[in-house]
Amino acid sequence: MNFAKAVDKSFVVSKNIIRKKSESESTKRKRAFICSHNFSVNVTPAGKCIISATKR
Amino acid sequence: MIFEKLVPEFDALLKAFDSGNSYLDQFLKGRMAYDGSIGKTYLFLSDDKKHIIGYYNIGVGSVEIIEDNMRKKIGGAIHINCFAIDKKYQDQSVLTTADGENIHLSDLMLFDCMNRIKYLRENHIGVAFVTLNATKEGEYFYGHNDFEYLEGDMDFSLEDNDVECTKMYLPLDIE
Repeated sequence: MNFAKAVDKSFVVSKNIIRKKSESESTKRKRAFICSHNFSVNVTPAGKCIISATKR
Repeated sequence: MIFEKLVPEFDALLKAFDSGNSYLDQFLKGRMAYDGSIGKTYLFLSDDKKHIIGYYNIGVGSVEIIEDNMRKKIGGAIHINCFAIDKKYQDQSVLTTADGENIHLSDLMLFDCMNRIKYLRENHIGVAFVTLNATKEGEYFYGHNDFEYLEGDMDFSLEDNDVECTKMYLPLDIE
C-alpha cells in the first residue's frame, strides 16, 4: 500500500475546499474596537450589567 | 473583562446561571462542563468574580465532504459545543462604536473564544475550521460574525441534543 499517495490525494482535496474567505467589514470594525479598548463588566445590586470601555 | 477556565472555585456561582436554554444550563450545572472528553469550559465573569455573565465550551471535531457516497475529512475543527449568555444580561450593556457598530456581551465572549482558538492553532494543534450547531436564536448572531451555513456536500457529525440546530462553520484561513 502506498501511504504517501493516499496522503497526497487527501491534501489536494483539502486545498480545493478550504478556500480563503474575506472577513466582513462589520467584523473588522468590531475587532478593531475590542482590541483597542479595555473593558470593565460589572453587575449592579439591582442585577443590571454595565460594560465600560476605556481606550488602551 | 475576565474569562477563566471553569474550576471548582466557581461552583457556587453556577446555580444562578440561566440562559433560557435548559440544555445549555444543564450542561454547565452538571458534570458535562468538567468532562474533558467533551471539551473545556470557560466562564465570562464580572470584574468582582461574583457573577457568571456567560460561558462557552470548546472541543474538537472535523469537517467532511461527501463525495461518491463516501465521507472524506477535509479539515480538523475546533467545535464550539456551548455558547451562552445569562438571559438577565442578554439585551443589556450595548456599547456603540464611533462607526455605529453595536458591541454586545456576546461579541466580547466570541472575541475571547476566537482568540483562544487562534492561540491553540498557532501553538498547539492544526485546524482549518471552527464549527458549531446554532440554535434558532443564535443563527443571526453567528451569521453576523462571518459563520456560514455548510455547503451542500459538506457535513460534520451531530450529537443527540443538536438535531434541531443548524450546522455552521467558519474557515480559519481568512484574508
